[in-house]
This record gives sequence, C-alpha cells and structure tokens, in this order.
Amino acid sequence: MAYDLDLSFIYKNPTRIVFGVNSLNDLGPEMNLLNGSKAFIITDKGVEEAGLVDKVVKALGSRWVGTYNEVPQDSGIHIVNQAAEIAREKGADLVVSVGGGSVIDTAKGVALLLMEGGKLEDYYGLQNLNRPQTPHIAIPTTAGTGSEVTWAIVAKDWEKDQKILFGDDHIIPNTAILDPVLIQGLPPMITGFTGMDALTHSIEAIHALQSEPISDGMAFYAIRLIMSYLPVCVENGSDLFARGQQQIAATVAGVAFSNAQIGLVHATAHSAGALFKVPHGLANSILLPHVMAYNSDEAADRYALVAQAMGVAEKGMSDVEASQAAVEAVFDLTRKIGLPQKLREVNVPESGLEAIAELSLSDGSIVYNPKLIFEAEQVMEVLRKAY
Amino acid sequence: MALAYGTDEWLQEYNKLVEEGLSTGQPFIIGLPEWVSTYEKLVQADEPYKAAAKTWEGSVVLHILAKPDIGIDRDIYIFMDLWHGDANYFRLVPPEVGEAGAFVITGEYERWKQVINKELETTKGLMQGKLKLKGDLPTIVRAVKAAVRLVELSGMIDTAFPDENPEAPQKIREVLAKAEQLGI
Repeated sequence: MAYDLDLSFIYKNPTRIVFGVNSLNDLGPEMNLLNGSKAFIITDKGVEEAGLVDKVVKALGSRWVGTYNEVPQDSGIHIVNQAAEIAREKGADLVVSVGGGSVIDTAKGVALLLMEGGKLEDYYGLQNLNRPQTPHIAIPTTAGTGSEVTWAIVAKDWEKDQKILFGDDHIIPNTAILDPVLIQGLPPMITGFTGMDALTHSIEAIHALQSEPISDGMAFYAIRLIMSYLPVCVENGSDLFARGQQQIAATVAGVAFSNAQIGLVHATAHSAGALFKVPHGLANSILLPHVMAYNSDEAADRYALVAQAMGVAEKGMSDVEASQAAVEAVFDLTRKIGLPQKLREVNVPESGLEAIAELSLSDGSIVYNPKLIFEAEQVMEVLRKAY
Repeated sequence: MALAYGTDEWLQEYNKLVEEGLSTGQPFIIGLPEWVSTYEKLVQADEPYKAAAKTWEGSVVLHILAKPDIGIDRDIYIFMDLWHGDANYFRLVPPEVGEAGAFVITGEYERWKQVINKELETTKGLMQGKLKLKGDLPTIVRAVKAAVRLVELSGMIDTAFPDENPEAPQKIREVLAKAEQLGI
C-alpha cells in the first residue's frame, strides 16, 4: 500500500455507537445524555408495520411527542421539509430515526431544520453550518447504509428526478443504537442488497481518491466481516450473532466512506435509483464489480488489498491478477446470496442507460473515483457491461 | 457614504484602485484588486479554461474570511462573472453582492493560501470542512474540469502572502480603507 509523502487527512467519527442485543433499551438514558426531553420519530410505513416503531415508542415512554411515518424508499427534499414542520409543531427537541438510509437521512434534514429554520433547499452545498444541530439518535433497521455515522443527506429532488447530496459535519447523528434484534426480521433479499451496500461502501472507500490509512483499516475490517457474515444473515436471518457482526460491518464501512468518500459505483447507483427506482443497495451490488473492472488499470494495487481482505488473494499473484480475483469474488458473493446480476433484471430499460450516464456526471460522488470521469461515454462503458 | 455598487461612478473608482495596485508591480498581495485583475486576465486568455467551461453559467465568489493580524480586517469577496467559457469580469464586491453569488466558496486565509500553493485540493478541502460551498452541488460537480483549471490558474499569479511579508498588512489596510467608499 503506497501513500504519498503529501498524505494529509482529517479523520472524523463523532457518533457514539451503542451496540448489543436489546440495546434499544438504552434509548432513554442515551436521550438523557443529549439533554433531550421531547423525541420525534422519523420512520417509514414498512418499519412501522413490522412493529419496530412500537418498541421505540415504548422505550421512549413519556419523552415521545410524535411520529412521521411517510418516508419513501428515496426520500425527497419536500419530505424533509414536511416532516420538519410537523416535528416543529410537536415541539421536538430531539430526533429519533428508525429505519434505513432514506429514513436516517430524512431525520438529519429534520434535525437541521429544527435548529436553523427554513427549507432544506436553503442549505444546498457543503459544510455550510456553523453549529451543532438538534440532537439525533439513529436506530438503523437495515445493516448496510452506514447513514447513522455519515455526514451526508441524499434526498431526491422529485421535480428534477435527481438525488441531491447535502454534506456537513454538523449533521452526523450524535448516537447510533445498533440492536441486532431490530434487523432479524429483514427478508433475505433486502438483507442481501443492503449488505452489498456496506461492501460497496468499503471498497469505494478504499479506491476513492481521498482514501487514507484509518478509513482503509476500517474498510478492510468491514470487508472481512461482510464476507464471513452476510451469507449467514441471508441464509438464517435469526442468527443474532451474524446479524450483529453485519451491523457492525455496515457502521464501520459507513465511517470509512464518510471519511474517504465514494466513487463511480455510487454516482451511477444514485442515478439509477433516481430515474428507475432501483433500490440503492441493489444498484450498488450490480454495478460494483463492473466499476472495479473499469477502474482496475488505475487502482489495481488497491483492489489487490481488497482481494486480501476478501480472502481470495493467492501468493504470487500480481496486483492485476489479485484485482481480477477481487472482481470475481464480488460476482461470486452476489450469486451466492441470490441477487440480480444485471441492470435489465431490475427494470432498467436499455434506452435509459444514457440518461443514467448523463445524470451520474453531476453526482457529487463521481469526483472521487480513482479514474477521473469527465464524459458520459466513460460511464456508458460501465453501464453497457452491467446491463 | 459608500458609492452604489455597479454604477459607472463605482466602477471608475474601483478601476482606479486596480490601476494604483498594478503600478506597484508584481508580486501582488492575494485578494487585493490588482491580484484579482491579474487573475481575471489570466483566465480570460486561457484556452483550456474556455474549453472546459463552455457550458458553465453563473457567478462564483471566493470568500476570504477576515484575519486582522495580517491586515485583512474584514471579509473579502472576489466575484467572478463566468459565462459559457468567458470570464466577463473578476472584482472585489460588497458583502451583500458576494453572498448573493450563485456559488460561494468560503475559507480562512490559510486555506486559500494552501489552495493557491496547490497544498490543498479544493474538493478535498470541501469534504473535510476546510472550505465551505454554498450553491447547487450537481451543477458545480458537472464543471469540475473548469473548476480545476481555475484553481491551477490562480497558482500562476505571482502572489505575495501577507503572513510572509511584514509590510503587507499595512498595505492591505490602506487598500481596504480606500475600498470602504465602494462598500467593499
């Protein structure tokens, strides 16, 4: 692994992480630590129907002041604005998110608007906030997004059909409660693709132009956990130990990519999601090996390390050979856990590839890809293979 | 009372400041009118920038935060009017004009010095919170090639850094005092 002499980085990881079976019971005390007394829950209908919100309400007791349960698969700027208005009416002084990445990102926006006022679109940009925001406790109900420890909100502008990134260190959740019990009911398919989201975060953190030693270490560890435990979680969702290990992997990968950033996989996955409603983890899962293959002439040394972490590097392999082994290992994993292999299998029309490529060029992730991308045709090269 | 921004009278007075500054010869102190004018000329003459920015529309403002110990007693806003590869004008502007720019990149003096000296890559600085960006991210991402060229060109100016030159803080204060009548 070669870092240049001019290596310089800032590593941040401010979230307090509370892990353990039944750690949801710590919610009240954790809220006390943040001096919150009126908690507003952000969630979605699926999570509510699974009975998870009831558990959170019970844990909050009289601190609970209300719930917004209408976050869709891809949250929108208008959703954040709407939820914040209700939270404000309820007098909330703390936000609790219960759900996947879309829910947690929505809650970040709500926490921001409760403190700063206005609409989310008033805060377009990066690092514009100057003070801590309304306290936010994130309770993930999937193991993949990492959003519980990241500095970004990805919210769709429904008018422009584009996912917009808002980035600020002040919106990183204060606390993440990782309770394996809350994810044991996740169906195999969702377990599989949200888990692949975590693998994508790990590998993109390693190949991203802003990679650095601390996030690398975290990403390599996350890859090891995912390779060991994701197939177990898909096979037997009630294995709480495996669920917990996968949860840890997802959070660790979240810390890694929140520091090192991501690349072309996410740029294209965000665009496929915005235009054709492909679930984020599924889009990442399909695109990841193709982007790795595309990048390999620039990042073979990085993928050789990924191959080591995946356990597929063999003695005497060159970087290029190990890089190819890593790509194959990703394909093998997605086949093993039964995920779709091609974009055509997830309702992306061939005629839509150019629109995905074009939209990807304005996604914030793309500037960190190890192979610089300036033209839609470069993206099309990947998309055609993934189709 | 300050002259109204953008009027002929304002522009005449501003151009006087530029001429006075240019007459002292290079190197120019970062952020002063003569430095901004030199930057403008460099960008206007740069073919790679024109090619990279042919679809760019909108103003970009470089906002240098005040640092009184080196003479920057108040924030400086460098307004760059950019359109389809043309650099129409670069100039210092009053805060309310600067804040209204389509894209505002804000940083402390030390950060801008690092950017000009190629010690800090702008996108990395934004992600790390060393610089702040106000504006529509997808639009600026789309123009990353042009943005990179703009930064490269800023490094080609023969620049004097006030923390390295004991006489610079006084000079900055003198110029900013004159600029006060322009609302800058």
